Amino acid sequence: MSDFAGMEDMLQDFLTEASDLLSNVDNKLVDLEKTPDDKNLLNEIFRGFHTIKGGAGFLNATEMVKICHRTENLFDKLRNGQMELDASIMDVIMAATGIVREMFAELSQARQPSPADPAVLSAIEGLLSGQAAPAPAAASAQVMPPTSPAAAVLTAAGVSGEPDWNALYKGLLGENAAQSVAAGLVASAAIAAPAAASSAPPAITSPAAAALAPAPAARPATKTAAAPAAAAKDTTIRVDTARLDQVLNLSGEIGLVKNRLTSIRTSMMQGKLDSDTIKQLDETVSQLDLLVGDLQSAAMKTRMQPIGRLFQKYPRLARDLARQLGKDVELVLIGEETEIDKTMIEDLNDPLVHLIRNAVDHGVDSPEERKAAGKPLKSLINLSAEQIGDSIVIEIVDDGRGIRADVIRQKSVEKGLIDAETANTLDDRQSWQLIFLPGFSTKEQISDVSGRGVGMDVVKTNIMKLNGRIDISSVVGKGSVFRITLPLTLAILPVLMVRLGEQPFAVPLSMVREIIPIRAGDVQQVSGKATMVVREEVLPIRTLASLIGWQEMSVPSFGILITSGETTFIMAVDSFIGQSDVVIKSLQDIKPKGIAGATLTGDGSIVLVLDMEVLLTMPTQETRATLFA
Amino acid sequence: MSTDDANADDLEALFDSIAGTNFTPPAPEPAPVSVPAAVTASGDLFSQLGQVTRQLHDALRDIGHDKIGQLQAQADKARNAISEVKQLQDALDSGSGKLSGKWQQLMDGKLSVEEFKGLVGETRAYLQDVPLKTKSANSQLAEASALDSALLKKLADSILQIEVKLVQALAANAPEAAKKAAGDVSSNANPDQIKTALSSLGF
Amino acid sequence: MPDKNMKFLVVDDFSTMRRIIRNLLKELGFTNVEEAEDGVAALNKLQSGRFEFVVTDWNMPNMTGLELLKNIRQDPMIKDLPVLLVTAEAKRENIVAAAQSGANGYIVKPFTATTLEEKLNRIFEKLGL
Repeated sequence: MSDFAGMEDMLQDFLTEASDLLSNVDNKLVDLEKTPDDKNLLNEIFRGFHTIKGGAGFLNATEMVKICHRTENLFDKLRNGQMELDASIMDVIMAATGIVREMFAELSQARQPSPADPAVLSAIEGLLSGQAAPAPAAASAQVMPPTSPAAAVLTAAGVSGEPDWNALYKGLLGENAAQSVAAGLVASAAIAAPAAASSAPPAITSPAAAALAPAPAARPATKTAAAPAAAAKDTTIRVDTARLDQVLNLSGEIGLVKNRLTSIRTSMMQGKLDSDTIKQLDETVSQLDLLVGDLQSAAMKTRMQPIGRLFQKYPRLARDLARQLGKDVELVLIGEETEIDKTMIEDLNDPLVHLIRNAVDHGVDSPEERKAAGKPLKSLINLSAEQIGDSIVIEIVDDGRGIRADVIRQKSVEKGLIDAETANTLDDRQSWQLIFLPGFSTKEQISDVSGRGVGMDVVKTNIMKLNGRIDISSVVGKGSVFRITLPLTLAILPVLMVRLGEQPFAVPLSMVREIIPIRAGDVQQVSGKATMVVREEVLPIRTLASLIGWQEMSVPSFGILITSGETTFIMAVDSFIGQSDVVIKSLQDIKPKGIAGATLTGDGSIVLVLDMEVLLTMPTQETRATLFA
Repeated sequence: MSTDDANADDLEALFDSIAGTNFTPPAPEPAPVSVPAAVTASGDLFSQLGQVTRQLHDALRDIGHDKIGQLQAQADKARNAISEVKQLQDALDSGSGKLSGKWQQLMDGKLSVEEFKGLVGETRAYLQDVPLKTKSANSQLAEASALDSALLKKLADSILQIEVKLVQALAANAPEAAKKAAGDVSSNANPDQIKTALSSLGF
Repeated sequence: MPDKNMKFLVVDDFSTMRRIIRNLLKELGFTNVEEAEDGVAALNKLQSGRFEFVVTDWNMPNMTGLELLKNIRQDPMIKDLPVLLVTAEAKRENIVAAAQSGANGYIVKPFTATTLEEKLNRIFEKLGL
């Protein structure tokens, strides 16, 4: 049952906007660690909590109002100089934002948030009241004169005036307690371990922070429950009104052109076919062409969102993970304003989270290694986005230990992913790509922090689903670069139209390097394969006909240089039509192998769009003889 | 936290009182109150003074409700005392919540002997702390209530003084007959005496 | 009875909040509502459009609601505009500051359509609308 019947829209609005706001707060917090006295930052964070609280109030989310209110008060004191920020206060604040985020997850399932972890609340309370929680050790030292009869009895068994704690404990819990003591100890040790790890860099000192330590473990139930909610897709989109206005304006103009066309048609139907009318028709159609083009790009722009919306979640992620691992890492964001298709933003999250975790966990070297290598102790990871032509390029660049290609090759052979012979033929670039093979992991065990059990192969699959690709380059000792190249949008695909016999096919333009004529004299037979030398590179020739399992019908006259991942080859076709932007429609019930979908040409005929990644896996063997048979 | 829970109606009244007085809306200048051209005749002065004094007297009767006014600073002090007490209470409250949570953990078998030992220490410290905190709370409350009544007395006294002075002024300007009926109004007259004097003067 | 077609300006940096207030006003029959995302934007709109009522949040970047209020009261063209301040806390000092700066009313978040109606009606009454 929804706790928000009748308020779904408001809830959705709130979640979208408040989540952004919280990510922003998280980022500011990471900045604040560097400049704890920045009054502007303090003010902005204060306002963030204040705003979230205001919205939560309208949703009757009292628990969220409560924790935001307390945290806001804390920032009020900080910005007024009544309190000074230190590592322990920072931990409390970070825990509070973590709780608010979990509450968002609960809200997104239309449930009222459950109460915040009391340990965090009382830690905030303690900081607000300015009094440290009573230190247990000191207190017990002074309060234990064994005066009461019960204590006297118990002391008899104890040592030097101390009560016999074991006896007391058993007295309270019964003889069977011994077993649960052990269990309790194990449990508390398990909780203590990650807490201790996370506190490594700035040591937690204050009792408030100590009270907080078990917090991460305290809400496991909600955390797992939250995961599927986060996976649920947000079906709404926020569009800049100016962009929407542009779409409306263009639609209006197209309406006018349509009216003009209708009137021209009427004249023509009445037999008015003079050159003036034809000229008018021509002008009007060109105008329509222009306007529709504009409308298409304007409509597309409504789907574009700054990638910063996605990026802003990551500095906090990197910081938390780095602290947990005892590393000092700063994630620097570059090009947050770069716009990208909204549907891609969501699908990019998982791969990026994985790559960032990977960079912090495996990429960045340990403080000891950095010291030994003479590097600055703090590692920088740059996360950048840039539009280059029709592509968006996202890079994750670390200054860590780099990836040793020979180690990758060796591991791949050990794991039986490739054979030793193949391994020897691979250059560094090809070796790095092995990381993306299913079943590859350089560590013996998937470390806890890389989480979710998602491997790099899934990262690659996800990127490829977006018609993108991922490349690695690395210099041992200096760092690694993971580069993701994506099309600007998924809705429109620039293709090259080619022909096999009379049938047109479309090849994604992003894979086409160039078009070359195939002349019998240029084709050579190298180790049983038909090849051609293009700019001093020996490339195999594969015919489209054999790739899709057609009978060779004629001697191919054109070759299209196709690059996919690390493979480059020449695909032989009969002729080519030209470049075009198409909207792909997926095929509903039939799924022919190697076909990504279909689209319509201007004259209404159906064109199949080729899925090159799949086609490449088809075993074919073109010899010079079969080509020119 | 401290003042959030102030009564909404009180705040509304406070808002209205300030919005009405301190801020002069940029409306056209208020028309001057029409005062008789010359208040030379003692009769005019007499009747005006009389009405004012009657109003004042009536207002005094309502003084029990109307407690803010110019002595707001002192009222705030009282309020602060109360909020401090509330903080003390909250601290006690959260302390007991925390402890009872830990005891529950103990009873569930989730604490080690060492942790249990710590818990007993914390609990004792807490119990010792309670009387200290309540004592402090009590004295704060006593101070607050003293402040409240002191404030009211001061307010009532000063208004009574004004009344007395006005009645004396009235009597001095009253027609002879009325003057006699009213008799002498002493500087420490009580409200009843003022009421009688006003009636005798015809108000 | 005030004109239901009265033109409102709702000022808040949080668009969800603007939408909430807009919806509440709609429930009360006021549909002529525009929005601004902070005091600066609001002041620009107010100076160029014929607005008849301002509902503004207090805590905003660039220009707070209180500063907006003061600016309104100093501008001869719009100084008589009724202003309802929205605040997150019923704090005495806030209420006093609002009243002293010339607010026509204040309302504490969260509120219902009924509360908003009461607050609006009080202001309409005082202004003789």
